[in-house]
Amino acid sequence: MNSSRFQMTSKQLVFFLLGTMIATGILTLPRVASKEAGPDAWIAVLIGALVPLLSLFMIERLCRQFPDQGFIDMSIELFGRYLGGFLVLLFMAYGLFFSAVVVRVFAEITVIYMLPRTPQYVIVVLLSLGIAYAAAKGAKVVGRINELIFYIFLLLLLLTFTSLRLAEFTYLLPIGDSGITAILKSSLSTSWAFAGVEILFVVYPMITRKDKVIKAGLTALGIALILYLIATMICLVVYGASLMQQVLFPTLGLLKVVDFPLIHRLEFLFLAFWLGFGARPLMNFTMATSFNCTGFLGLDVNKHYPKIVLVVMLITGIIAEFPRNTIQALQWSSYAGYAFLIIALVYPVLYHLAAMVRKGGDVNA
Amino acid sequence: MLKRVGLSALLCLCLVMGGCWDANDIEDMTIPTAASYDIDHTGGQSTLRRYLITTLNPNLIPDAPKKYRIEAISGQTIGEIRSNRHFQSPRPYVVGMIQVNVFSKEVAGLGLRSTTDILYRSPAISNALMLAVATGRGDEIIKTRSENYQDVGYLLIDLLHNAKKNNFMVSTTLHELARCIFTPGRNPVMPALQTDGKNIIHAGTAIFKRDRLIDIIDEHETRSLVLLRGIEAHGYIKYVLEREGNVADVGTIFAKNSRKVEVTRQGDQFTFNIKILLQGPLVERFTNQPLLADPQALTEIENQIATDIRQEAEAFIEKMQNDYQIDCIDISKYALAHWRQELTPVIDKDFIDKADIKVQVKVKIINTGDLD
Repeated sequence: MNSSRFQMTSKQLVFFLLGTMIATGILTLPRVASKEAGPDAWIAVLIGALVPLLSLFMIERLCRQFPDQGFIDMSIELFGRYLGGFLVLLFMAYGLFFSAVVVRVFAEITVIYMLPRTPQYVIVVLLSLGIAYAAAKGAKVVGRINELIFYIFLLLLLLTFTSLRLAEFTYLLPIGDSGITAILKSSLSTSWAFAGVEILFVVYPMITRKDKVIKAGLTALGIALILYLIATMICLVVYGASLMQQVLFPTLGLLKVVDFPLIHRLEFLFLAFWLGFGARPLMNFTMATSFNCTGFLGLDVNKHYPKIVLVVMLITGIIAEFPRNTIQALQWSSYAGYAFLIIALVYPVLYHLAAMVRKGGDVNA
Repeated sequence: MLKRVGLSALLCLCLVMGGCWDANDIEDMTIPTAASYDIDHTGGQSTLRRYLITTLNPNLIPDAPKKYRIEAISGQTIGEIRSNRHFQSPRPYVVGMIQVNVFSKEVAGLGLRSTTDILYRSPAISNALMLAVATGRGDEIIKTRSENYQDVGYLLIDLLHNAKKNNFMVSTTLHELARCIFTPGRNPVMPALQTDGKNIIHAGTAIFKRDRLIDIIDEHETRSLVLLRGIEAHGYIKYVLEREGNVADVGTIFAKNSRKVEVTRQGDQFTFNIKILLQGPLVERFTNQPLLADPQALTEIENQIATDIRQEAEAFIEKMQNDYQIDCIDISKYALAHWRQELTPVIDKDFIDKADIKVQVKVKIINTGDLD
């Protein structure tokens, strides 16, 4: 294996995790968060961040015990060939499903806002080709692309501040009025927006400074949380919780509510950069799934990894075509959210238990 | 391998972009800038009413004799109207550039949900689209022949965009309408327009209960509404100062307004305290008496204006509570900000007419221009 191609600095890890977490989810999160929690949607987002936080710590503690082993080796060592193999396969299936949902929602938004007459599958194919090319270059390139796009994304997010001239701050009050049950219910859904942290299972062995993984993870999580809070609060004060339930992509809609001299339509400026921004989780998951797949099949990474990327991309594209319409695609994204909870929480717990049992067995021996 | 993938991607891109599904030549498009909505009464009796949409389309055909075209098409839904339009005007219709929509009084009275759904649903249409109500038919506004503008679309855009800069008037966008319709305790207002065939004027404000027009108030009541609702604007306010039963001074200030609302509660009795602040320069004064020689005069002017504005505002509140029985001054949100869960189910039912609403007005003349 060309080791440098699959090496990542801790700084790149920050952007890699951010790129996996923040994508189409930020466009729908305010609506999802306010469905139950209403004006307290931002509290739900805050609480929702506890799930990936817990997951981050558990995965890091686990991988620290197997610093030189990849996800596949670790799984097989802890669970044996068959059960371990099954768990790896399940993880890969999750990666494929997650990627498919991302590419489909991405294509739907592109069709709705930019290219209404272009068949949705054409967008999926075109995006997949570009993504396959980038992912085939390996973790280092993927990390750099993530970093570059993140800075562009920050500039784009600044555009949403322009809608604050229509802000109605009473929409945030009274704080906590929706009740703890509603907030907790909502926070379950908001935790899905942080899906992507579980990718650490795969990329951990690629990180050059293992001692900085937690710091990088926390930084990524902190930045994602701040950006999500900003998006949710702006949407809340501009739309109010009631109107927000009517809007499919409220964060994008923020750019439609203000008229600008000369530019007039800010959302088109946003959408011009949308291709790169929306594609990051797809690129990251494709890379991770392909890397896993190559290892699982026992193939030489240098020789076969790019081919596997193409196959993974093809399967992803096929799965992405299953939802019949936008509404079903969004339903699928909530299924991906549930799957995230399983992978991010159940997997680490299971692996930790297996590691403890194994350690106990070694002591007894 | 990677090179092959890259080349294939590039080839696909070239193929797809060359015959792009969404490619359109701007010269082949119809780009309406303003539209009006009326009820079409010519279609006879039907279970579903027919709408008539009149659009103003700047003519993009080079050397065309007219600078714009007016198209009027009817149908039972707005989508059907768009479809019918293409029987007589086959060019692609780009709705994204519409900047003003005028609803007839009749359409507004029936409720705007059905006519605005397509606007709000369409990603191409900006939510900053300006809305207005015609005191009569909407198409009369669109068909007004404006002599000073290229077409009436420019006049409407100008009139609605700049309304609040020099007078206490309202302006409403599609976003604001949706926000008021979907949020408990809120009701939209819209500028009302009137035409005599040659000119279009602001005729006051259309008051809505949710999406349904219930009244149109004149420009004097509009000032009270704007000040009470806290719509930030600039405008001229005339005063007549009396001393011992005689007119001592007449003049005008140019003020900007702001509003603060406090809400208190005793059991089920809610009290709103609205504080209106008007501040700006004195721009006109009939009396020659220098203000430096009569320092009390400025305070008297301020008090006089404050009293006038407060009395007008109280009269409007009385009308709102007794006649409209809805919150058109947008104060219920302050009660919701304290007791949202409790009040949401009842905020639109007899809440505002039972509330005690008090008004305080403060006027601050910040300068007197070049003269003292």
